[in-house]
Amino acid sequence: MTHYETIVLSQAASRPLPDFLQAPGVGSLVVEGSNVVVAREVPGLSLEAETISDGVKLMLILAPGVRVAKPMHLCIGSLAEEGIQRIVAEFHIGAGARIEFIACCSFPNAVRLEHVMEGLTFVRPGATLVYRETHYHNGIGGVRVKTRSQVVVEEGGCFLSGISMTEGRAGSMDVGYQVDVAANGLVELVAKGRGYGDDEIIVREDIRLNGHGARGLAKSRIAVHDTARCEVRSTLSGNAPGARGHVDCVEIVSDDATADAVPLLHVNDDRAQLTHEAAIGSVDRKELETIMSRAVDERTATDIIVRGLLGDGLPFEHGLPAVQAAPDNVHSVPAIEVRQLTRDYGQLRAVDGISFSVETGEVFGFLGPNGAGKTTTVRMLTTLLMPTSGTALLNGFDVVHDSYQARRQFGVVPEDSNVYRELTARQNLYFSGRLYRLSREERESRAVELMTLLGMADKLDVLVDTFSRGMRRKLTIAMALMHRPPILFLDEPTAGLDVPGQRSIMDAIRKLSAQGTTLFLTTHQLEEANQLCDRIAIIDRGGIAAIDTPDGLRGLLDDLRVIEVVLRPCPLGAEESLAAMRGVRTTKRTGSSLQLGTADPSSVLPALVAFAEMNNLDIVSLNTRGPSLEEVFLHLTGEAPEAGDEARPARRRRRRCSEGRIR
Amino acid sequence: MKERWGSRLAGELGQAWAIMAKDVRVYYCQPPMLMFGLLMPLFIFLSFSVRRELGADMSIAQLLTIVTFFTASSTGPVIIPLERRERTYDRLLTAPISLWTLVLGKIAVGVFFATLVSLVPLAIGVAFLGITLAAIPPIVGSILLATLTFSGLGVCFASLPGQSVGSIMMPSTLLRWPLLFVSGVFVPIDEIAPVWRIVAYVSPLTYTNEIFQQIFAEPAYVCPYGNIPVHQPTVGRTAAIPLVTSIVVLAVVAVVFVLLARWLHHVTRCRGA
Repeated sequence: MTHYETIVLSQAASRPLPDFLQAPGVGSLVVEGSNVVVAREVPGLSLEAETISDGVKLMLILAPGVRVAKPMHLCIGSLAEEGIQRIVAEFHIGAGARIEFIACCSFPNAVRLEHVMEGLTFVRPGATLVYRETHYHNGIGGVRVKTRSQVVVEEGGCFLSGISMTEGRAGSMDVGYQVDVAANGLVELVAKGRGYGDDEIIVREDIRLNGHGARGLAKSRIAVHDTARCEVRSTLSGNAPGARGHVDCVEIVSDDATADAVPLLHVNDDRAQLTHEAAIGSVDRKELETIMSRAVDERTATDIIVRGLLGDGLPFEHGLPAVQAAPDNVHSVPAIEVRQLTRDYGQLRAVDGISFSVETGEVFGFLGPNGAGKTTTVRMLTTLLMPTSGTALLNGFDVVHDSYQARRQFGVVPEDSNVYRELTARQNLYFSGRLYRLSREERESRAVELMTLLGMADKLDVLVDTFSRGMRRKLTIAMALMHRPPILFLDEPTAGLDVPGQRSIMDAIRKLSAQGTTLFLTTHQLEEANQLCDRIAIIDRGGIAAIDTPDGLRGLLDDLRVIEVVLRPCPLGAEESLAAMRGVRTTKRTGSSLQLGTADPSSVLPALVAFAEMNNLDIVSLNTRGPSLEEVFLHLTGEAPEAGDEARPARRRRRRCSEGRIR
Repeated sequence: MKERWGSRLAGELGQAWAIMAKDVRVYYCQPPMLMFGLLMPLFIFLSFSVRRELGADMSIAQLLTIVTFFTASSTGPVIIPLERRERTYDRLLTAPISLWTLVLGKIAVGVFFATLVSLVPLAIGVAFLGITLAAIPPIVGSILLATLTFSGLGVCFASLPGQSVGSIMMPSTLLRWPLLFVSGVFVPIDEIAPVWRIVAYVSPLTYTNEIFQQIFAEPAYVCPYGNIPVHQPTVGRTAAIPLVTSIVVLAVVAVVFVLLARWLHHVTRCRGA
């Protein structure tokens, strides 16, 4: 048996190799100890390997623009029982190129073996590198792995890395990443591991989001048993406007095992948005009891839950993250593109030739008063309604002429939680999975994963009829996410929820956004849109009144500043007196606060102070601010967002624009 | 990437099965289903059969006709409006499934439910009335053909854009009740007025009734008195239409209803209703 076969077979002992890796035309590199056993290039990929004293030095260069269709196989391991194997590797992925590596690190005989990996990776502009690595360390844990990788993701580049160590004993694993991400770049680091005995799993990640719109996710799922130990230190730095990142650590401990998780966020630009969550604990008791009620002992039940948490395959095996689902389209095709979309109901034109586009990974808010055409637009985008004219494309698929493919691109969370109350949460999720043709294994693992994500893991087998409104809302979101849609339509996601429920849903939305899902959010909650959306479109009478960032929309009312003053006492009729002041355009009372709209606060303030003195009023507080999003909304549409059709006041003049500014 | 047609077909069948299995779990015990699909056909049968001199075999044949007709044609008009009201129907319409799959899944729900209900009178006949089923395949085949036809009819009605069971059931009932009286179920075709006889010959219920009556009158299929292989003619019963003709006509009508159901739902979908 050759070294190659031995290593590959060792790997296969834990998991059958995918057929495509053995197919002709697939690039592969097999390293055993200090020997390069197989080095098979593919067109566009240059592979250099040099033996060094205790290992191998590798250089892989993918030429710009080359998109390697089939994943390349890397098998790096050692059949020795002891010693050291050092791998020094450099990866250069040329601009616009794309490649995926499936790597296995196998040490079937290790007793006292050390594996050291030093990596340097450059992902050039618009390039994509997907790296999936699975470890097999035999059952005695005699291997010590230490990897240190430095990655540079340039503008619009994408680096997805997943490391999995879930079979056999981990031994000692110390995984380290330092990633710098430029504008509009994406990085996603996923680490999954399981340790027994005295195993030690250490994950150190440092993601620096240096460019505008850079996105990053550090996700770890680790379970330790017996006296094993795990430590996760994830550092995320938001150094540029529009940078978005998320750290997500879940560690499960049992027996005398210990775990540490330290998510560390640095926000160096106030327009960056970073979030984190860390959960360490034992297996959820209710979930455990639910599974044990099926005549399963506690250890097996724990194993089922942990397997559900870790997933049952390579990272990204069930599909790449949303942003990468259509890698050829990532940088060229908008997630949503609408051109001159029109819908008539008889003589009534509900949507009047609207055009806009939503970029991949963007959170796009769609606001408007009732009857403005929001629902009609969303129904056309989700293939529920045929447009009268115009086109709408989802990831390049036409919603009319290629509706079958278009429907695979999105999930929908409607305003009403459309779950089946007569079924359990699990049955609901499984049904949703079957509609999208997920395999049984995918359905099972995805259901557990999503319910864990939404904090309802213990409700999987509970009848939905007993759920609160917030829980049904979460389940609706989970059902929409079963098939990992690249685009998610959310209609009033927090409507009718209490404050904790709203916060929990908004956190979930932020997480999805950080993972690269494109979100199309329809809402009446302007503050919600302000917090969540990268851009907002305001629709009125079937036409787009404005599209811009929340700040940009507020900038539309440059000539409107607001003075907020609290007077004590605040006499009745004060608004009328203040409205008569020179320079004051509007007045409004909210509780004890009076708001004066003006183009020139500096000329109004002295008059205001004089007014207070003349009437023996104390000024308790006084401040000036720019217009709120609600005021912009009112200015554009002439009514409050919650107002019904019947109550619509006379509108201001109709404003229309294409992208960007009001004409 | 284009999907292979075999894979697509297998996937679509799996989805249709999933829709059917879900509907079975969610709706079979809902009060409207029990009312319109179970109790109503039973009461209709009892109302019009008491004090009539029918043998056990012909009573069961008549009951089967009523059950397959009413039960199968009730499932679509019950389930689809309920789903529209709960917005779960949108979930199906936005999933990557063809309209064919959706319609066939919904028709299968009716076929399955009505077939289950049809087994009850058969079981009663065998257990308590001494009937022996000599050839099961023709009987089961007839039940499946009839339920397919009328489930298709029900799904056609369900294409009407309503969100309450009543709004769909009312026009459905307006058609089904008159058919019941002109299709030879209670009054033999040759005894009704000539003008109604014309209507009878375009009613699929007439052919369903003929099929069940003739199968239950044929000793090779059903022995009405235990194991005695001699048929005792039932009072007032003569074959109006040859059995083969009835089967062919009903099969054609079933295909028409399935096609029509798909087309009507397509139209409704285009209108966004």
